[in-house]
Amino acid sequence: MYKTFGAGDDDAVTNSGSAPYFADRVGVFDGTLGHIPSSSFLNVDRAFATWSNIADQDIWFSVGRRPSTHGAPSNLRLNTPRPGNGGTPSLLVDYAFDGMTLGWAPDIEALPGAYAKICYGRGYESGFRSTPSNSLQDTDMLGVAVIPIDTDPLRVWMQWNRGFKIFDAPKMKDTYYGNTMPQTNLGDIDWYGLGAMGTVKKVGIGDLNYFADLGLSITHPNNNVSSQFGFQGLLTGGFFNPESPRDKTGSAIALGLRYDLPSKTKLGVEYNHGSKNWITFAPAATDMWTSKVGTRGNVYELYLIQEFNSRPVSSHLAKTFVRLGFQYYDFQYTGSNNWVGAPVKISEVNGQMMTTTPLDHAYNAYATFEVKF
Amino acid sequence: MRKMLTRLLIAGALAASTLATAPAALADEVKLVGVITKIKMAADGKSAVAILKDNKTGEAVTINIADDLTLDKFKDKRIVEGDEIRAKFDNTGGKNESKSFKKTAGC
Repeated sequence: MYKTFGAGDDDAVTNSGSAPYFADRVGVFDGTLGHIPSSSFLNVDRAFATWSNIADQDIWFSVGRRPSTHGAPSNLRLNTPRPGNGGTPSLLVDYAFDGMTLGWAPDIEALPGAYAKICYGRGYESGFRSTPSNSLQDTDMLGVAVIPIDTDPLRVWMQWNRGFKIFDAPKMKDTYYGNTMPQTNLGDIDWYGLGAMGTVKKVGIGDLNYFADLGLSITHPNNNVSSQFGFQGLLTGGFFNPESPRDKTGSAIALGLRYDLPSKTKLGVEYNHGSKNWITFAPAATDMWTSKVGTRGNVYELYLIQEFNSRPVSSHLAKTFVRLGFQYYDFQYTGSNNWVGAPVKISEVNGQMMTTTPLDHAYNAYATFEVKF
Repeated sequence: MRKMLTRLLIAGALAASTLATAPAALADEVKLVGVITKIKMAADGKSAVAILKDNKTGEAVTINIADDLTLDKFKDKRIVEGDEIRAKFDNTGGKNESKSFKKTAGC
C-alpha cells in the first residue's frame, strides 16, 4: 500500500486535474503500483518462482512478477541490499515486469561472482488478436545482462534491452486525459548499459561506496503516430506537428558516492545527466516529480540515512532507519521520461502545444521513516 | 528481425567469451551443493567454520573459511544458516579449506 496522506487516489502526484508535468506521473499503471502514491489497496510488487541448480549446474529459471524495480545502484540511496543475481540496472529499467529469466553463474576463479542472464518481460498484453478490430500488438521487453564480476569491492554490469512495439500510452484510469490505454505501436527502442559499483573499506573512519553508470538509448520509430497525443511518434514530432520517423540516440550518466560511518549514519551524493533524446524505462522510481534517471538535463541529490539500533525481531535482515534527502532538477529539454513526441529545448519553449506542462527546474525535499521486516 | 537476431547472437557470444574461461580443476578440489546447518565464527572474526548438509548424500561436511569477502557476508547476515550454498574446497591434508562459497544463483 502506498498512498498520499489525506487522499485515496493519485491526484496529488498527477497535478490534481491540471495538465501533468511528466508522462510517468500522469497516473498509476501496472508496473508502478505500490511505487507511486495511489490508493489504500494492498498491491503485489514481486511474486515469482525460481528453479535453481538445473542439471546440477548453477543455472536457474525464474518466472513471475519480476524483481525489476529499484535495482543497482539505486539500492545505495534507498538503503536496501544489493539485488544479487536479480534485478536490472536502475538507470535502464525500474518497472515491475511480468516475465521470466534464464540465468547461468559459472564458477570462474578469475571472475568471482560472474553470471549472465536473459530476461523477458511483457509490457502490455493486447488480448485476443482479431484483426481488424484489434490490430494492436503486445509490447515486450527482452534483455541480456552480463555481470563479469560481482564482489563487495567491485561489481560490473553490461546490459542490453530492447523494447518491442512500444505502446503510446499505458492503461490508466481517471487521468487528466481521461481513461488512457495503448492505441498504437510506435516502434522499438534499444538500450545499452555499462556500470560499476563497489565498496572501499576503511576510508578514514568509515566505508566508501561508489558507482558509475552509463546508458545509451536508440529509438526506432515506425510510421505510426499517436492520435490520442497530437499525432506524435516515437520521439518524433510536436503536438499536431508530425515529423518523419528517424532513429534518435540519447545518452545518460549517473554517478554517486555514499560514506558509511560506524554510527550507522550514511551520507550520500548523486548526480545524473541525460541528453536531449535520452529515454529510459523507469517509471516506478520513487522520485515524486518524475523518475530522476530519465531527466533530460541534470539532477543533483544529497541524502542522509540514519539506521537505528531498534528494529523488528522478524528476521536478521530487519532494520529501521530514516532517510532525508534533497534533489534539484535542472531540465534542459521537455518530455523527460516520455517517448511520445520530440523533446524541445526548454529555452525554446514559446507557447507550443505540448502533452505535458514543461518545467525549467524543480526541487524535491524528502524524509522517510522506514521499517523493514 | 534479422538485425535483432544478429544483435542477440553478438550479445550471446560476448557473454560466452567473457564467462567461458574456467580453469582446470585441481586434483583435491571438491564441489558440493548443500544447505548450511551451522556457522561458527572464530572469536577474532578472521575465520569461520560452516557445516553444510550435502544435497546429494545428506552427509554433514565441515568447511573452513578464511576469505574476507565470505566472512563479511557471515557478519552482516547476507549468508546465514538455512541458505543453500555452492561450495568448492580443497581437502588436501584432511581439512576442507574453502576456495569458493557462494549462495545458489537465482532470481
